[in-house]
Parts: sequence; C-alpha cells; structure tokens
Amino acid sequence: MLETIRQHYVYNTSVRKALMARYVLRRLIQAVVTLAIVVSLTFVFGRLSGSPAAILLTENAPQSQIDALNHRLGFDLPIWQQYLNYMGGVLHGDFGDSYRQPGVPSMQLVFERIPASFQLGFAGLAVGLLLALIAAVSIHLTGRRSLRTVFLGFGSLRQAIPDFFFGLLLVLVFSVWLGALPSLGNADWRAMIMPVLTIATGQFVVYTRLMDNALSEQSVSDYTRTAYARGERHSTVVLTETLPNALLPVLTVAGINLGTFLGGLVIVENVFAWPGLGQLMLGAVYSRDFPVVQSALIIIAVIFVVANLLVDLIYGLVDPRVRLS
Amino acid sequence: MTTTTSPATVPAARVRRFRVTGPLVGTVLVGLVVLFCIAYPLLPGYDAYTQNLDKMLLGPFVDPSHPLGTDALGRDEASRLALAGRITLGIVVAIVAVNALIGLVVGTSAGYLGGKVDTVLMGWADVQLALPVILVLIALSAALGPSVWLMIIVLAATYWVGYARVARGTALSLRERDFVIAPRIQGASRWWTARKHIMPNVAVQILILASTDIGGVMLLTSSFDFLGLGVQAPTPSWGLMISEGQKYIRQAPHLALVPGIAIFLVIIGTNLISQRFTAEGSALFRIAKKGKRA
Repeated sequence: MLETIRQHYVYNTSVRKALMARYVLRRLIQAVVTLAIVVSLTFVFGRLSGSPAAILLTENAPQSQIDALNHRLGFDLPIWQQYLNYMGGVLHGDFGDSYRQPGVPSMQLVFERIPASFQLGFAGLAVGLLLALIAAVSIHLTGRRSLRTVFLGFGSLRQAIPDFFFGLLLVLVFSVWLGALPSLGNADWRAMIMPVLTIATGQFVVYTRLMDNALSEQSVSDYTRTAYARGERHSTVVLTETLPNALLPVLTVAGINLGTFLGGLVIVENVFAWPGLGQLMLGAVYSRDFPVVQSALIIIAVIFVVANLLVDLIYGLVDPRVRLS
Repeated sequence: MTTTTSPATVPAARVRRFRVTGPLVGTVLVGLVVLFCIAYPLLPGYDAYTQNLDKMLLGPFVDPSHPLGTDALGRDEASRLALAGRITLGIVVAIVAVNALIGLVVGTSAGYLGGKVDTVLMGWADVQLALPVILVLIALSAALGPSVWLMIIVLAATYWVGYARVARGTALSLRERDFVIAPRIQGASRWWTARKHIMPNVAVQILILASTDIGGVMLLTSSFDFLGLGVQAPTPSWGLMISEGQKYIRQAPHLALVPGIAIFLVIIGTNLISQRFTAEGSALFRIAKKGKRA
C-alpha cells in the first residue's frame, strides 16, 4: 500500500515537472515569435520612408553621392535581400548605425539610456503600487466606504488630467512657486520626486480599483467565512487570507499594462527632460534617425516579452492551476 | 471579528441621485467649453493671428481687449484657445466617429455572420491589446515624419477594436431573436437583415460608447500634440499650446494653465456623462458589458 502511494507520488511529481517544462517551452517559443514579428514590423516601417538619402543629404546633392550612400546602407539591394541582411545583422547583434551619428551603433545609444528609464519607471511603478496597496488595505481594514470614495474620487480627478499636464502642474507648484524642487534633468535625487509622483499617481488609480475589487470579491468567499468562523480577527483575515489572493490579478494586469506604461514613460520623460529611452526616441523622431527608434522599439519589445514571461512563470509557481490548463 | 467588511453597497437613492447629477454637471461642463469654442470666434474681439510685440505675455484680466492675456508673440490667448479648441475637438470627434463607424460595420458582420470574419477580427483585437498606440505612432513618425494625418490614421486604425467588440457582442445576443429570424424565414437576405434589424440596435450601443470615449481620445491626442507627434506648429491645438506654455511657465503660467484646464474640463465632463451608463443597474450598460466580455 505504502509502495503504491510512493509510486503514485513519484509519478505525479514527474508528470508535473514534464507539464511545467512543456509550459515553459511553449511560452518561450511564443516569446521568440513575438520578437521576430516586432523586428520584422520595424523593418517594414523603416522601408516605408523610402531611401534615407532624401533625409540625410542636402536637397541638391549630386546623384553619385545619393547612389554612394544608398550603396553603403544597402538600400540598392532588392527588398527581400535587405530584409535578410537586416535579420542576419540582428541575429549577430548588429542593429545598424545611427543616421545622425555615423559610425555609432544605434543600439549603443539605446543602451546608454536604459538605466535612467529603468530607474524612473521602476520607482514610479513601485511607489504607485505601494500607495495603491496601502489604500486598498486601509479601505478593507477599516471597512469605511468614505475612504473608498476619497481614494477613488481623487483617482478619477487625476485620471482626467493628462500626465504631461499633471507634470507641469507639479513643476508650477513645487519649482516655480515654492522653489523647492528642480524642474528637469536627473542630476540630483530630488529631481526624481516629481516625475515619480506623476507616474505613481497615474498608476495608483488603476491598481487601487483593482485591489479593492479583488479584496471585495475574496471577502465573501467560503474560505474567508471559514476563517471568521475559526474566530480569526478581521485584520488577520484581510492580511493573511484575502490579501495574497487579491494580489494575483495585480500581477497579470501589471504585465498586460507594461506596454502602455512604457508608452506613458515616454511622455513623462519628455516633460521633465529625463535623459531616458523616451527622450532619446522622441529626439530621434524629430531628427528622422530611424535606426535609433528601431533599436529602442526592439528593446522595449524585449522588456515587454521578458516581463510577461516572468509574470506567467511566477503565476505558474504561485497558482498551480495555471500550469495544468 | 465584529466588523466584517461587506463589498460596500451604496444606498439606492444615493446612486440614483448621483446618476442624474453627475451626467448633468458633465453635460454642462462639456457644453460650456464647446459653446466657447464655437461662439468666441464669432465675437468682434476675435483675432487669433495678429502679433503685437508691445503686449507680449500679458496676464489674464490685465487688458480688457485680451481677457485671457496674450502669448509670447502678443497674440490674444482667448482667441487662440477657441481656435485650438475647434481644431482639437474636431480631430477628436472625427477620430471617434471613424472608429465607431468601422467598429459598427466590422463588429456587426463578425457577430451576425460569424465564421472566418469573426476569427480574424478577434485575433486582430488581441494583437491590438498588446500594442501601445504611442509606440506605433513614434515608429511611423520616425519613418514618415510626424503629421496630424498620421496621428489620425494611426488612431483610426487602432481604436475601433473596442467598438467592434461591443458591436459583436450585441449582434451575437440579437441574432437568435424573433424579429431577426422572422424576416429571414420570409426570404430576406442576411445582409438586408443585418442592416435593417441588427445595425440600428447595435448603433445605440456604439453611440453610447462613443460619447464616453471622447475624453479618452482627447487625452491621447493632446498628449501626442504635446510631444509634437500630432498637430504641427503653425496650427494651434490645446496640447501644442501647453507645450509652448511650458517654455514660459515662470513668466506666464497662464499660457499652459488655460488650455490645460480646457482639456481637464472636457475629460472630466465626458467621464461624468459616462457615469450615466457605467452605473450598475443601467440596462444598456449590462448589454454593452456582456458584449465586451464575449
């Protein structure tokens, strides 16, 4: 009897491991396909503009000069060969040089900006999530509807103000009127306060609503009632029973929202002249430096795909139902 | 253990009152802004273009001929605001209308006709979810050069998916109803039935969604204008006015504040109006929600 149970256990764990491995593999393949599509799309976008000679050379450049440039950049080849060359380059880590700074790989320019963007985005999201967590838990610990009205009321007001204008309002109050904070750059840690606040308050609304709904849903479930029946205190039930379950949807939504979040980061970086990826991209749009934009988009796609892969894997670890389906 | 938090239920009377006051206030706010944009250029003092370098960066209420002050070139701020408002609101309404129309046609065909159309539509809708509009617009602007038409096309090509989903859901829920089946038995073609009996009912849903969407689209377009990816410089728009005002935020904060408040009023106004439809218990919203989920 004991032997059968042991065998059953061994069988089950090995099946689980196999299923998990298959799940991971499937997600990995999906990730690679997504990236290949993004890279191909950026290639198509890049060729939409035709030859870059019109942008890079002066208006009355001689034909020989145009031809030489097209030849150097490979624009004189048939389109399918350009595509193959480009994809081959990408696989070797060659994403093309910047048009405006000849000889400088576009990817190098992008990599220089990643730390600043990462710092700002991470801080903004973390502060926003923390504030939302505090708000949602305080609503449910105290059981006060008025708290919810205040938080969500503040939230809808904030949502009616575009990020760029909210940032400007902060500049007006804290830099111009109070003279307390620097209005641009990232030279000093205090310069981070306003951009982080802009991002965090924008995120706050979304996640407060989400966690509040999730907590409400969990609070009427059977296991919660059982916990109360055991004689647990209200605060213990909220913090140890319902909260962990209410955090799961946050993970999913954060993963899905990441693309929009990174797009929003572009706006905030430009309001505060924060030297990140978003500022680089917009500068490259104005100067028509397509390879830089292309490389930045590929990096953003990689971040998006890796983050969502992580979210799914973490989800698979935390919630066993996901793997088996 | 004495206080169990139930999912807070708001008393019905309060909900009802709010559902009337909220949308009313919203309508008044949006109405006032729209009225200003339409009516101000008809008044005698209107002049959005004449520059007057003697009267640069005047504050509001200083000079009676410039009630909202002047910008860096001495142009009348109130006139600029009205003209920019016409342009901004015009673009937003055009985008919403095009999206609603595409969504109505595509969604209804997908829901009522089903089959391949449906599969393709829903597949595309899933792709859309993961594509942030701003990044698509940045990529295309880098390739083709930023322009207002590019912004309109990108938004028109991406935003209709939400409408299509609602239209599809409503059409799905209608296709087995008697008034839809009856003409088919009498020999009406599928397209005729779709046009005559499905679309009018779906259109109501779409119209509601469109009215609540104006705020969201305005938020997007004004952000793009601000970044220089939308309306281009000599033409004024609220987003552009704010980005110009940012340069003079120390000397003349009203240049950024005035158009910002206009944007805020329109967005908060449409959000308040939409509460009429998002409040639970509204029958129309229940259908719309079902459509979104399907």
